[in-house]
Amino acid sequence: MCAEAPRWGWAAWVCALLLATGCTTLAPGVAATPRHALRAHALERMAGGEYPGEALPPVASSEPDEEPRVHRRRSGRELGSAVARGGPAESPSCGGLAVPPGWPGFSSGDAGQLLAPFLACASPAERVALQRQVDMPRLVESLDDWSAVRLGALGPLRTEAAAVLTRKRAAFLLDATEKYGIARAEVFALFILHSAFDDELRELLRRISRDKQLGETLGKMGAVREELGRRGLKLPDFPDRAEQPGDSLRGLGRAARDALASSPVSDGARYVDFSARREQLPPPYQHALDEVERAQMEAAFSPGSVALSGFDQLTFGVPLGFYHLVAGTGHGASSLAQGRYEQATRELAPAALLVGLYAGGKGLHTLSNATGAGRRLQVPALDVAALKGLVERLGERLGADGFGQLARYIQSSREAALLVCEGGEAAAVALHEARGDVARAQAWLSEAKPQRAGPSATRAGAGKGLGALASLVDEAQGLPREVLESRLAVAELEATGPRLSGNVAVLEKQRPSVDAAPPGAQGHPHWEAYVAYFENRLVELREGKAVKPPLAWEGYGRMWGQFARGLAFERAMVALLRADAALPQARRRWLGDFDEPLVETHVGVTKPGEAGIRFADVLVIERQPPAGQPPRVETFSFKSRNLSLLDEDALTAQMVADAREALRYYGERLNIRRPALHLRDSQVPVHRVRLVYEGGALKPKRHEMLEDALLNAKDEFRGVEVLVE
Amino acid sequence: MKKLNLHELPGEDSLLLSFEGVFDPKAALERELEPAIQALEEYAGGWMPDVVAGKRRRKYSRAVLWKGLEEKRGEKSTAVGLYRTTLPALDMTLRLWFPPLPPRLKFWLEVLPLSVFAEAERCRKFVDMVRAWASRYPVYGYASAHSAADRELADSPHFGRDVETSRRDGYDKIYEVFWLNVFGPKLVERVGRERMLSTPAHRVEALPDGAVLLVTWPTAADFASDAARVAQARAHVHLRPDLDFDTVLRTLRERSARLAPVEPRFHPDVAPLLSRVVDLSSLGERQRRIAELNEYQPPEPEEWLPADAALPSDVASPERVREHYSYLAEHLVALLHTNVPSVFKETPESLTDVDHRFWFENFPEVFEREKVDEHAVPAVGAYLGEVLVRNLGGQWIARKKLGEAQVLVGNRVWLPMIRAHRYMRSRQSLLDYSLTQLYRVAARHRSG
Repeated sequence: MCAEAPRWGWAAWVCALLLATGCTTLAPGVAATPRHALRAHALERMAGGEYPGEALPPVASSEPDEEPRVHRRRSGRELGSAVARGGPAESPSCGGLAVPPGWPGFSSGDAGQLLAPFLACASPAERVALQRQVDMPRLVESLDDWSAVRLGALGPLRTEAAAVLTRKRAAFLLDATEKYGIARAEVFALFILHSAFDDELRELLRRISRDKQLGETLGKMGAVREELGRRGLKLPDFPDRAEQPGDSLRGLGRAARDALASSPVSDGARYVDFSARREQLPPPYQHALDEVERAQMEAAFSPGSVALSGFDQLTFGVPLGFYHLVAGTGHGASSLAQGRYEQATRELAPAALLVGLYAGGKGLHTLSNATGAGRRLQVPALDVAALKGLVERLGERLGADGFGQLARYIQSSREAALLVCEGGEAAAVALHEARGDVARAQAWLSEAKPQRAGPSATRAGAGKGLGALASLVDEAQGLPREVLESRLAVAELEATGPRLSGNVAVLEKQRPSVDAAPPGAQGHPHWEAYVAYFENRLVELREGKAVKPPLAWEGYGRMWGQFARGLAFERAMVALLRADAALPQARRRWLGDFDEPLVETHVGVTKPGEAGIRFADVLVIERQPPAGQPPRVETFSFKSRNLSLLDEDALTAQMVADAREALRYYGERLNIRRPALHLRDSQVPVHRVRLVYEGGALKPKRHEMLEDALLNAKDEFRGVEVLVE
Repeated sequence: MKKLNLHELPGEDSLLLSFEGVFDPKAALERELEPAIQALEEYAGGWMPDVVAGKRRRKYSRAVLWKGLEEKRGEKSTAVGLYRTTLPALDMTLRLWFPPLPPRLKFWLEVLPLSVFAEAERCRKFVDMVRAWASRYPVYGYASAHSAADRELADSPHFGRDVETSRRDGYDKIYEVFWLNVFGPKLVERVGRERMLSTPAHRVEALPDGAVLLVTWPTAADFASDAARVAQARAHVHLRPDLDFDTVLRTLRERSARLAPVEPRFHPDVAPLLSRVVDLSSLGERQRRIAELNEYQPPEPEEWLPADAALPSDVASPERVREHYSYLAEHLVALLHTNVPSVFKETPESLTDVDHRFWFENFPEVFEREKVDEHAVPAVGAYLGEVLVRNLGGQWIARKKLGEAQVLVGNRVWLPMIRAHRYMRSRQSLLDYSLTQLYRVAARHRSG
């Protein structure tokens, strides 16, 4: 079947995360984030490019056809009239590859074989079409719970199979919670949440609460609760059914298991099972699992912010399990396919991309290599130009807010997703006009007036869409991976803790080992990461790269502490700025120079002469600048440093260095990469650059010395305002 | 070379000099700066720097100082730090600004403790040094030396103005008279040269370029004494006839009162913690903070039950649950060990270190409530329990619900998770429900 096992690297995931965040973008061909530091981190692992979980088992074409294939008869019920048909029932295919003869062989019990054709599909539309040619309820039924969860992540299932899927998802969640413990199960739960539609989730919650297991499972998962909350689902609306005899016994058993489950998953069989599933998760989830494993506790604070950031990435208001969009289409390890996805994410806002991919059907994919030198290998690749054309057309018809709304409609209902998958562009417009009401959209479609001029066509306002799109991507305040990675690199670079020698020969002798942690580091959740960090730095030094010598173990721990502290301060400052932005202009303390400030966080920016992309902590932009003028832009950098023990010269030097960096990366003229801001093609002048230090106990105790150093920094850099908050 | 960090020595007042003069950037740097260094070496005596910090720290010598200035030379400025390895501690910077900025030479100089300047002769030398600097590098604004604590109370360099106004106007009129003052020609003109030179003071001298040096009192260390304050007020109202002598003197006396040492009489159960908390306040706030905390009485711990009312263990395998408690306690160690190495020891002193660290970081208010509750509270509670077990011979009583975990010590069972929960509410609650206190009370009730 698949000529090549799907292997697709982290680039695809970067792209997926961009989808999730809107923070673009990596310059093509440039490993733009400073990856030299801290590659050790689990972040790294997914960079290897392998996604073994989706390596498909070869399906022997000679497999005996033990039972009649249960190709589904066409159901009379079609969604809408503008439905794009799948391939003819006689020769089902997906992703340009014919479904192997004998598929689906239900009796084989081989979940990989059952799933394979779905994984090969090039688009949600193809998958939906394929579903129509097979007995889906039976197929889902014959999958084990986990495989069903994976199938569910590939796009909307048709109605008949949806209930089976819900049951399987619920069973999987309960089982995972029991076997792996709350913390690990939470990652799996998030995977399910992100790949399920709101209405499916509602069913899932109802089902679990019927079993009186909600409080014991999802109820205990913070990130899950948050994500559910974002989707408008509140656990209290799904009370566990009343207590019944026998429950308490079960509860007790679970409590004991919970206590146990906090320790590493250690017993053999359970571990094998766990790690196999872990492998089949998309890399960001794998990463989150690793972090959970490594730093269950510290997750919340020092080092652990990263584990949490892992979660945050996942909980990031992702528009509908971007998983399948990339997983499905980028199959075949074609760098071409990947490259095109990256291009698409660079050039389109996340919601627009999501809508485009759903509505585009098969039309967006060309078979690359189709004419190539007689090779049989054909890889469906995204036709970026076609996609952009589609998005542009849709944009005109939907209005500026349209993509954000439409993405939300799709996420909220499986039927809506099916409608757009099958009905394409016309269905997308209809769904938008019907404000997400699927039945009305169908009615509209059946009237099928070509080239309807929707009322929305006239309401396009350039500035207006910003809000909707921005809120879609920024709601959750998670740190996208690139931001995280670049932050960590900076934290490492700036870490003041003790460092080891820069001499490679000396370092060789000091090499730490995972099995021989020094006293105090034994069993420490970060020891292993430290070893990897050290090794990596050693390699870089050996290669003669201009990097600092590795931090000593103590310094490494402190760096994490500082990093987490910085994130907390940043969060507080962003809240402060947002509150300020909401005040009437005259009363604003920070943003008084804006008419209508839009506060954006972690905004990717580039500057001519500076390699790669940087992420401004906060970029404030005028929402509706006067016509023909570039918008007012101000940037903020936040630093959380313990300045209380510095002498005058060191304090000045620190402020000057921070101010220099702020000006260099976030001052003067910037190219703002975030697509939603629509400024990608221009260099925008920055009106004001501010560097804000955390105050309180961290600031110098001599107030006069602080003022002196601030003035020194000001003399050195007039273009930067340095403050202590 | 390891220097002594003045900023790590809390609680001691210091003499702080801020000096800015003009130098000739066209002259050869060494020759131009030589008189400054000459004066420093001649007059510094007991507080002479012995470390120079350019890009690295080296033993003091002129050659090393020039080297430091050279290696740190930037586009617009250069600076070297000058320090000491022993008491008295020194934090000193020589900073130079070059064109296109107006060329300036700055000394920032802090000597700790202030008591070094109790001796008239040493003070005279200090004044002579500043006089030599000001004669060679004309002061156009205002330079001064005075107790760092009193400067803080005077709100130097803002003197009650908002920061913007202060930065815009600088020291454009006589806002304050410190122990040692150099008034630049503009200020002299504004006050009137005659008037300035006739100021009642310990020492008043006209300097080249129209500046005036004024020293209110022979010694710097007793600035807060009444006689020194009267002299300070007299000089001040002489230069500012619009001010009322009594009012100025009252303000100065109030400042002296705020700086008068207050004997700590902290509640014994929390005394070690409170004295650490005091060390985090600035010099100007310190005595008031001590007075405040002398009054402070933490609430008596309530997180206990009589031993006979203990909740019996309700788990099938108490051993496993106890292991879990110990595992949770390890989390606190993991969280804090880099900053609080003593957490490994699990002693009562470790608890005070933990209290102090959380207070310093304002941990409960900085991190998100949900995360604090979910992760820090169990770890803190378990750690507290472990310390009770280890040091007071306590026994865990395992419970299904984590919050109900108990430690039996003598005739009481303590509820460490409940304590931890209350503890982690706010910065204040770290004091009100400190681990330090609970431990001490538990120790007292161990046998009675």
